[in-house]
Order: sequence, then structure tokens, then C-alpha cells
Amino acid sequence: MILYYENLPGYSLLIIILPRIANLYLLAQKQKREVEISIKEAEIPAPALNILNQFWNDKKKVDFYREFDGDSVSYEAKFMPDNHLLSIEFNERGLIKDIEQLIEFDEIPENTGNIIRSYLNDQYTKFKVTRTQRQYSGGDELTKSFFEEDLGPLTIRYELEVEAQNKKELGTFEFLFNKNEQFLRKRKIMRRSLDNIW
Amino acid sequence: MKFLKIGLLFAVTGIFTSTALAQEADLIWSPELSYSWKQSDRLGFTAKFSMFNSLRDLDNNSAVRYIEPQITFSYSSSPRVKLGGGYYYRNSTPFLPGLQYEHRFLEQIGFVSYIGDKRIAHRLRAEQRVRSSSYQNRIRYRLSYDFPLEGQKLDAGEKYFIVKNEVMSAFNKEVADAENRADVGLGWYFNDKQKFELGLQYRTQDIFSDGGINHLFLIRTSYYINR
Repeated sequence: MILYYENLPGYSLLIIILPRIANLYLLAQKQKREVEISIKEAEIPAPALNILNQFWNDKKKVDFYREFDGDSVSYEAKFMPDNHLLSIEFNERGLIKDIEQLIEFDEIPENTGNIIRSYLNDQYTKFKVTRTQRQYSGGDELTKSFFEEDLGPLTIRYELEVEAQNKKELGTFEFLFNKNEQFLRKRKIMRRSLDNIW
Repeated sequence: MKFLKIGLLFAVTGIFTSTALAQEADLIWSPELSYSWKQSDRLGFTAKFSMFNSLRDLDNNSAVRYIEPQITFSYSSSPRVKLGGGYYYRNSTPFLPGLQYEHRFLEQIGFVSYIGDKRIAHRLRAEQRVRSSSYQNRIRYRLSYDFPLEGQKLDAGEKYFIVKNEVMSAFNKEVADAENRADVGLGWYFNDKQKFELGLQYRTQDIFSDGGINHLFLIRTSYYINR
């Protein structure tokens, strides 16, 4: 059947447009998804819970998350044992991967902080550090070493979120440095589009 | 739980609609389709098509109050500040005889701040409205806040909540008036390229008019696509 648009009442145009919008939705559903969802304690693998129970005062609130990046599943426990938010990440079998501690940039040792700041100064005309995390990794004894403050055997890195700009770039970036102030990695953080609030 | 939330949303929409009908206020359905693309880290464009349909006039040709294609650009002067401008064309009551149009030019500045994945945005906009019958200036300020409903981060397939309020003043040499638009909405974030929002908006118009305040209830369905 051929429809002549000029002969249609106004609402018939919507009847034509809406199914096309529905098709776009179906297309979106087929695309790869990365999802972090909040889960209950019972859904965390038993080995992960065993590790946590050794060091975690259960009176403190813990939030649990399952993350799927398209290839693998991991679990995270987030809580605040002192004034720093702590995030312990486990793999699918419940074995520990790393610990991340949310800190202020000024809590990085002064010398390391100065060198990182100088590195960013060289790269950008303007920058602002908006989030700083200290990462601890180091095998099966990681949690024990961390909670007993025996940090010697652990690998320490700093992950920074930085809003920055220069002539070529503008945006929010994630930088990774080791404790010897060496730059390890930079990634651009893809923010959600502002089209609905701008 | 999911069904409960969706049921609640439809219940609120129903109450909203019946309140509007009972008050004999304008009841509008406004569908929007928005397509945005980035030319560089700093420069972006948005093309949008929106309609304004009176749900009280579905049985006649004045149901479509207007159709409005528009194009805007934005320039990021920093990661949090955007400057921009654009042009709207409005064709009013397109299915009634006689052409009524509006050419609208706009300039705006926006500031966004983040608390994790929660976002607060301020937008200040100036408009020049060249209508077939008159000319009008308008100044608008909007505060928007959106946040994920599941977890700390908004991931593909999750929903978000959005709330906005906008105040504006329209004026020309002869008259001036003011309007407020309060808006709440639920968003479905399919992925970083597409999302859909269902919003309910309450407009208080002609605040300083001798004829009294005019109330308008609007159901907004917005589909956003990003390249």
C-alpha cells in the first residue's frame, strides 16, 4: 500500500515514526554490554567471603557488586573500614585480584605526588585531579598483609582521574603510576553524553 | 521489584493525566528524537526533531500544535563548561490552514559537575524568537540532575532518574512574563549510543499575566542517539 503523507492526518505521521524508533531499540539490545550490578552477600563466591570474614568487622556496611565486562565476571566488596572507601576485587572463583583505597591526592607521599604533578604539568595546560586511588596487589596473602599493615611485599600503584586539556586533547583521563613515580598507563574516560541535560 | 517500579511509573503517569484532565489544563504529549555527534573533543552538534501534540484535540486537525526541527552546536571550553548556539524552526498547527512559523536563535552556556556517575548541570540560555506575528526575547535557566537507579555507575541496560527545573522570562518592548517548568523522568540507558526517557512536566505559564496563571501538563518521550 502506498501512503501519501500530505493526505494523512497529523497522528498518522507518528504511526510511521514510532515503529522505526522501536527498531532502533532492538538494535541497541544486540550490542555488547558492560554491566556492574549490586548483589546480595549470598551471591558472592564462598572463598571471597571467607577472605573478607577474616578481616572485616561485620557491623560495618558492605556493598557487593558483580561486574561483567563482556568476557569475564568479577566481584567487588566495597566498604569503609576507616575514613577511606575500600574496594576489594575478586575473580569469578572468589580469589583476590587487588585492593583499591580511595584517598586524597595529598595522601600520596610528597615526593611521588610532586613528580606526578610535574608529569601532568608537562602534558597539559590545565588539569585537575578529581579522584585518587591507591592500588595494592600481591598474591594470596594480599588481604592479610594489607590489614596487618605489612605493606613491604605488596605492589603499590596510584590510579588518578584527571580532568585535563591542552591544544590537542580535552576530557577526563585515567592515569596509572607506580610508587616509583613511573607512568604506566593512560586511558580516556568516556563520559555519558550530556544531550539530555545540556 | 522491576514490575513494581514500572507499575508505579504508569500509576504516576495515570494520576498526572487524570489530574490534568480534571483541571481542564492543557495536556500535551511531546515526542522528541535527538541525534548528536562529536566533531572533536571540543566541538559537538545535535539535530533534534520534536512535536507538541494536544491530547484534548486528538479528534481534529489542531492536535499537532507544532513541529520543530532544530540544530545546535556546543564548544567545550573546559571538561565541565560548554558554550553553544543554535537555530530552531517551528511550524505551528501544520494541519490547519495558514502558515504560522517561528525562527528561533539561541546562545547558551552550561556547566556540569559530577558526583561519581551522578550529574548536576546548569544551563543559561538566551533566545530571540522571530514569529510570523511578533518578536520576543527569552532568558532561561535550567538546573538538571540525573543519577543511576542500579548501583553506583550507569551501565548499559540500566535505568536512571532525571529531575529538572527551568525558570524563564519572555519579554519584548511591550510585555514581559515568566514561566516555570518542573520535570521528572525515568531513563532507559540502552548503551552509550542510545537512550530513551519518559518524562512528566508541569508548566506554570503566564505567571505575571492579569488573566491568571495557565497550567500545562506534558508527557515527554525522548529518544537520544549519539554517534
